[in-house]
Amino acid sequence: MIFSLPLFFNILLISIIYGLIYSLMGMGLTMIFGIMKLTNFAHGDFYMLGSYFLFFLITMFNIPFYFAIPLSMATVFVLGVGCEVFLLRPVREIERSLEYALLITISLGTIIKKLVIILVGPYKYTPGDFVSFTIIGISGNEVIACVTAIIMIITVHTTIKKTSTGRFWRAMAEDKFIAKVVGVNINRNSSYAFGVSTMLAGVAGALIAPIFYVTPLNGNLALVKGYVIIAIGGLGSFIGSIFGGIALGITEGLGSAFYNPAYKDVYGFILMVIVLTMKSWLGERSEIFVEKVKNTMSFRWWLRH
Amino acid sequence: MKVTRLHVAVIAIVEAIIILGLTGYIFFLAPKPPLEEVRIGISMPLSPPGDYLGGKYQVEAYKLAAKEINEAGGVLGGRKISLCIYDDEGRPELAEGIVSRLVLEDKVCAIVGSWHSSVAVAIARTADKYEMLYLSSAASTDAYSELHSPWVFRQCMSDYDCCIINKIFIEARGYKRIILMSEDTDFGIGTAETIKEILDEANYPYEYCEIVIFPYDAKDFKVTLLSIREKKPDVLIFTSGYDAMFLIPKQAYELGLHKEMDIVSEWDPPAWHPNWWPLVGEASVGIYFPIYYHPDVLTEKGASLIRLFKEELKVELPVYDVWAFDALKTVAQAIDIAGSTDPAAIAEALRENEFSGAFSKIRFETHLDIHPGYWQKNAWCMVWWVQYTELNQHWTEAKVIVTREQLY
Repeated sequence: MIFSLPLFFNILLISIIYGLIYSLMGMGLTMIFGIMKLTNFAHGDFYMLGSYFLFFLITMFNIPFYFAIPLSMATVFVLGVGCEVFLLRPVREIERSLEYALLITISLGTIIKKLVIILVGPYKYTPGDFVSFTIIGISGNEVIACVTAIIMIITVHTTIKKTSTGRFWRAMAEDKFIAKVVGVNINRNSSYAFGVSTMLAGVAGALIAPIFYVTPLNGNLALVKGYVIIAIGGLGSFIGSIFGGIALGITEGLGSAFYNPAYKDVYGFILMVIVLTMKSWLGERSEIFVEKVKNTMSFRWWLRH
Repeated sequence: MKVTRLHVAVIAIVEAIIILGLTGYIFFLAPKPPLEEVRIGISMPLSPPGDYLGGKYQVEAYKLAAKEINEAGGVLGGRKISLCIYDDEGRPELAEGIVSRLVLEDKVCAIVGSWHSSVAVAIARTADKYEMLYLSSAASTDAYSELHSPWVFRQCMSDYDCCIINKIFIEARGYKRIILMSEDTDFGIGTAETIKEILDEANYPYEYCEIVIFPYDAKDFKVTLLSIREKKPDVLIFTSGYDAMFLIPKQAYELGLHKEMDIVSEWDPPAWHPNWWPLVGEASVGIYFPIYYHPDVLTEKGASLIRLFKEELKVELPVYDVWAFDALKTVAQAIDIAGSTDPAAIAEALRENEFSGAFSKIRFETHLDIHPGYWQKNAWCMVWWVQYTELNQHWTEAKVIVTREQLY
């Protein structure tokens, strides 16, 4: 492998851009896990739906991409809220509700995929380029995806920190029972949280549509990456999922460029194993350090500060 | 009442009349039951994770062939061809179950189809176990023939054929620094390694010939392409049956690689894939690819098949669908020659005879001296290397870079 500094920085930049987009997936998953304690296996399918909505809005209704992105986000948000109200809420109060909810999300994912194949066919689509410029190998689509991802991260952070809904979510993440006792509307806020989480997946799918195309299966890989990210960043850790996404992007990018792209997916898992082992090892050696890292990385800490 | 001899005689006569009457009715008057259909099994990926779009078109090709055979009077003096179609999802582990059902429940006399090489290999092994005739229309991997089973035939080109074609193209263009970028499937790795082996055997004077493998479901290739650029190759030849076949040329174009090296598709989707131009767009201009038939040298039958595909399915006819169409028609001809639905007799007929295909004659030949994969394989092969020179150009108008005469 020929190493040069410009090449290294070029690869680093591209990896960070993809990492930021991946981190939207991780953020959505970690939100649901942190607030609802739920593992959502249909998350990748909301990502896929986001890309389809964007495609149809642009190609069928000739809506410019800067309106189509928020519109597809909003549509996925409404769908997410609907799924929470009609599918997840009914099982919330029953015994082993989390296991049932998990099974529901698995079935939901399969149904969404099959429905999309039936309705629009197994074909690949592209909404066309958002903009058609390229700077140092980075396309306009990637620039827009990166900027939008940063805006989304800041917006969600501000929502959690500054709004009343964010305060309710924080309370639910701490203790749902106590939150209910002090008057938080669990049903409404769970719906909002699930909607925002799926919306994050939807926007990631919409942003990636002109880059990786629109297909019924494009959520599968995104879901796997989402779970690797939250494993790296820590389950339920909001800021961890952002760093996890960037770390995954960089690890995969550098590994592929400087060692072998055949093991691209393996690099992420190796990073995950190293991080988990380190956490466990540090736990035995230095509880204080782990507590510090945990506090810094945890969703609750992020919500509190 | 006492039964007398007269009673017995009357009853016997009445019974004889009834039996004779019924026999006469059955033989002469009753409507004849329809002749039993001749069943042929098909295994195709019709849902994920397999390439269900490719599977769908090939099933349509088989249906068109069955329709044509049945409209022309069927086989064995009027028996209709009936297709038993199963979805293998592109998963080799499903192959054994599908073959078992086809053989034991559906009682087929032959199996055709399969799109993914790995599935075809699994079907071939199971078909060999059941002593069932299997004619693959799309399995290109050389591993498909490694059993040297008398039951296994190949309609299409093998990886070895494709690699020879690539080697001739490399020679014709005089490339010295070669990158072979392939997906991590038996198709991708097999192809890349075989091209390199063939170049080595021919002592081709390259500076380097490097194989770069990527996961078949990968989508972001930019970092890999950036590291490839540093090696300053003359040519980047990519092999993929998944999204990578669109994404590699597109992302290479965004990085400006098309100005620094030739970008070559190892096989022919740029010619026939309905989504090629919408997905790849201007990145496709300048790309090189092989084509396996050309409208200028078509038989009348081939031209009518192209028209039929355009009218019925509204798509460009991929060569794989020609092979699928021909596979069923070849089996039907072999059944007629064998005069039976016994798989052994059909296999014998396939080995011993020449058949008429849509584009050319079909003959299954074995030449193990050329390559271990050359086993009961259709010897037909037509290839040109072409290059897109304009946006949204039709493949028949692409610039011919290496002619058929140069290749043979």
